[in-house]
Amino acid sequence: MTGISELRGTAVAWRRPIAEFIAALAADDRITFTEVVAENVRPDRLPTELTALRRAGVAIVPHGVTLGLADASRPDADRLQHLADLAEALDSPVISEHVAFVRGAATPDPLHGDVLEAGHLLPPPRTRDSLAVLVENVREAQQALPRPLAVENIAALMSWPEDELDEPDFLTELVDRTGVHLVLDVANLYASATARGTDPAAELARFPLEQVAYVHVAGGTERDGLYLDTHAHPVRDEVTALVTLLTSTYADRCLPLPGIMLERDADITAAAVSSDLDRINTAVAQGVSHAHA
Amino acid sequence: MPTRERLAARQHRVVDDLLHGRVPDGFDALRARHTARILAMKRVDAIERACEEVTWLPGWRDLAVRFCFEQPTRGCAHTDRDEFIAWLRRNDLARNWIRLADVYAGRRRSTVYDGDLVVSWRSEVVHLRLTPSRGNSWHSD
Repeated sequence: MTGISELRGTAVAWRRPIAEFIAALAADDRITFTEVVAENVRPDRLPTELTALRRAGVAIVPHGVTLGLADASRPDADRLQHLADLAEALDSPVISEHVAFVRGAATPDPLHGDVLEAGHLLPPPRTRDSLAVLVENVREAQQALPRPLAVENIAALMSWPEDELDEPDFLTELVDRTGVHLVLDVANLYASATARGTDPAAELARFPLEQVAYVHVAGGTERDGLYLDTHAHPVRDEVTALVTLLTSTYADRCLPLPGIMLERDADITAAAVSSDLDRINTAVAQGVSHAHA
Repeated sequence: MPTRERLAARQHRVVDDLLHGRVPDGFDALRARHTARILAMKRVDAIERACEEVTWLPGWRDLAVRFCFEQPTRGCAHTDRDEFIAWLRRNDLARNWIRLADVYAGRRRSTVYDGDLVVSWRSEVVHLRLTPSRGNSWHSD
């Protein structure tokens, strides 16, 4: 089994329309790992393209989107079991989810009261109380899962008025108290920092970088001065600049650079993905040369 | 009130506001509105996948977002599609397009929409472009 520390190089998240393209990248040894949205596959009916990738030695990470680790309720046993079964079926080195809440239940007991599904990843309030609940939920998930867990910073357009911690401190404390790994999404970091008016480069330097399992990059667009993380547009220059900064920061700290994965979720074509992947590779090369400069 | 109960009540109130397209108390209006629209667009995208003919309706996304804010309870994509069409009927919106949707749903054999004769034929819906006859040319030549 591939370990977390072997998730290296640049990669592309697996989506059905580009299955052939990803198989070709793997055949050329241009990727060594990928990721699949956990809710879109069943462990007993894995797409043949995915099992072929696995046989070819490509590590596959199940990436959940509906667990709601920052929900007020405890993580759902069936959702955890699905992630566990997928990780076993794919022999995954790590399972990933998000630092997000996805539903609002009138009470923490999901069997009672009114549960509103947001249908999207929402930022939890960054308060001490909210962090305490998140820490408990992450620990429960870690106990239920057969592989290490990594959680991703989401693109948060809105901040809560009661926030007490900034995002780097919130995530650092989460990591310190649970040992959880991170999926560092640099486009999400850019989106959140832009929305709250902070400097994404300064925040990146304060993230717990030694705990990052792998990195996400995706495209987006701008509206009303806000960066919208669409996964449907090309990766913006501001985001590839963060990839360069990330690369040089790891080198400067003598840390191995984690794998960097491109995600695209709309208008998914080999041409669009290939173009963004080339730009990410260039950004990484620039980061390496900056570090040595 | 214990921590989880307090957090549950707070998150519930904020999600309820966002799903209705309202700005939760104390939140920045622009950022909350964009977030609310992103939540609605998740449902709108699902409606599009369940109802390909919706793209024939000009401005349909904005109408569908209005529908989502008025009826924030999420059904499956097919329920949302049916309820969106019912909502358009109730609000007397998009009358011509509803006739088109009725053809796609098998509730009607044909209609004329945007210069096309739209006909349910066997298990397909076909759009036939209507052009004037030669003897009644609209062109000067």
